[in-house]
Amino acid sequence: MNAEAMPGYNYAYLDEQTKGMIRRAILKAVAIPGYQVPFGSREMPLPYGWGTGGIQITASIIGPDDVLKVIDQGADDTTNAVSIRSFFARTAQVATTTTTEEATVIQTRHRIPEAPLKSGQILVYQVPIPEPLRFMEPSESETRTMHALEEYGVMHVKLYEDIAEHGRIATSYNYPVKVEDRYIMCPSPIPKFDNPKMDNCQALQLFGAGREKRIYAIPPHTRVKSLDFEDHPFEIQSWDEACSICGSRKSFLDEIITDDHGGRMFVCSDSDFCARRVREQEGT
Amino acid sequence: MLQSIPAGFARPVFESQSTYRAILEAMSRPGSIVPLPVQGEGPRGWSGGMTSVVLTMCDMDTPVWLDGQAGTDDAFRFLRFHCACPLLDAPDKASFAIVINQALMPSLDAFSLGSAEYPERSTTVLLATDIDDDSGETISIQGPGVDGKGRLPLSWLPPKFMEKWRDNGCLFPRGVDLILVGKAHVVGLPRTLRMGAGPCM
Repeated sequence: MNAEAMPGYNYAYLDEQTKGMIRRAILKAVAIPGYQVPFGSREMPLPYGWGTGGIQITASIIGPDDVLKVIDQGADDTTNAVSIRSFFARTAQVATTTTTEEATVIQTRHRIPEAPLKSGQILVYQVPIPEPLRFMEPSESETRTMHALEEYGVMHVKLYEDIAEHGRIATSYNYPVKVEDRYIMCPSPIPKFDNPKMDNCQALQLFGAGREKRIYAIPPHTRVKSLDFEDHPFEIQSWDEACSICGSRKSFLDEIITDDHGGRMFVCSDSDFCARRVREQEGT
Repeated sequence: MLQSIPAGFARPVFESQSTYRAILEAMSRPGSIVPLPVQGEGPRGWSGGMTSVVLTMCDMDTPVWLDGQAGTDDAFRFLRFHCACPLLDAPDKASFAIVINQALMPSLDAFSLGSAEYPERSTTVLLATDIDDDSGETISIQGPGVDGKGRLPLSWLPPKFMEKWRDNGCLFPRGVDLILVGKAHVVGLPRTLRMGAGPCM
């Protein structure tokens, strides 16, 4: 293994000074769980919105001994996931996998794998809008002050307005959480189905927002509570259907339109989880 | 006279990466002893572990303060050459503080504590410790990253450290973070860690 394996580029694409800056930001993020640390986000060889924040975190932490898994909406075989996986296979010469248990670093867009994460694994989230208060308060200096003063009333007002309008908290993804009873944090656009997996998770969770230039983190074994009300407790999605491929009734299901006559099916969003269940059922 | 400067890392890209992962693991799981994969070749008086951590964390963006024992001419020359970091006379604006002699450890509020708006702008103290010496009394720890409760040997910490750490915890989200650096191991003490029965946090 040498740093010149990809001529013209440093190992894992980023230059060493940038990695150092991002590494320091991650350490402070871990020390202040849920707080968004500003960082000097770089231009990456793919557009904003395709995971530049997550890629910069992964590039700063990854080494030749790592095994990388990349998922997009739970699937290993979508364009974004395939591209990012091959990017690191080329620039960092890391082994890649689609199996959740084998990975040491998992970069994700909008899902947490169904298989429980283990100690020693790092989950890297791609985050579009890191500020949970942004749609209530557009000013960055105001939201920064609100976080400093723990002034989070507007967030509860927003959830209450959901109840007033729909009779329940209608927010179904990017559902706000409170970390260690202090910072309100945006979990990235994961379905609220995945929120409970963040609480007391064994793996380290890192969040990178490239366009918005923020990094934040949840250390392992950290309390993460989804916001709710006593009379409207937090609840996750459920389905009447089972997965059409593996039959699972426990996983997060995507609805797929199969024809133009109203035909549809539900399948697991986590492709690794689904494929493994099929293999087990076939006894191979 | 021409002075030789120790080589630091032999393979900086990979050794700083593997060292960083050890530091990240230590900060994510406070109190656990994490082995450092590489001992860097550094100035006299520094352990190989301290050299590795400093080379991994410090560069021209990080003002560094050193205690009287760490801050030898050798060390300044080493830092200027390898890290190009600004060297400070006082700890209150330091990104990193290197403390080799625990008796010279300033009070925690002498360091940069960050602000309520920007709590990350606080000092990370790299405190040399004999991690092999875990004899004697221990204290219970808990907080983010600790599975239930853990224990920490008091022998790793400077004398009368407990009250200072409690005060530091009361400042949350402000406050300093500590990394205990042994010859070949690191232990992370982020500001969120509670020792004993602290009233704060």
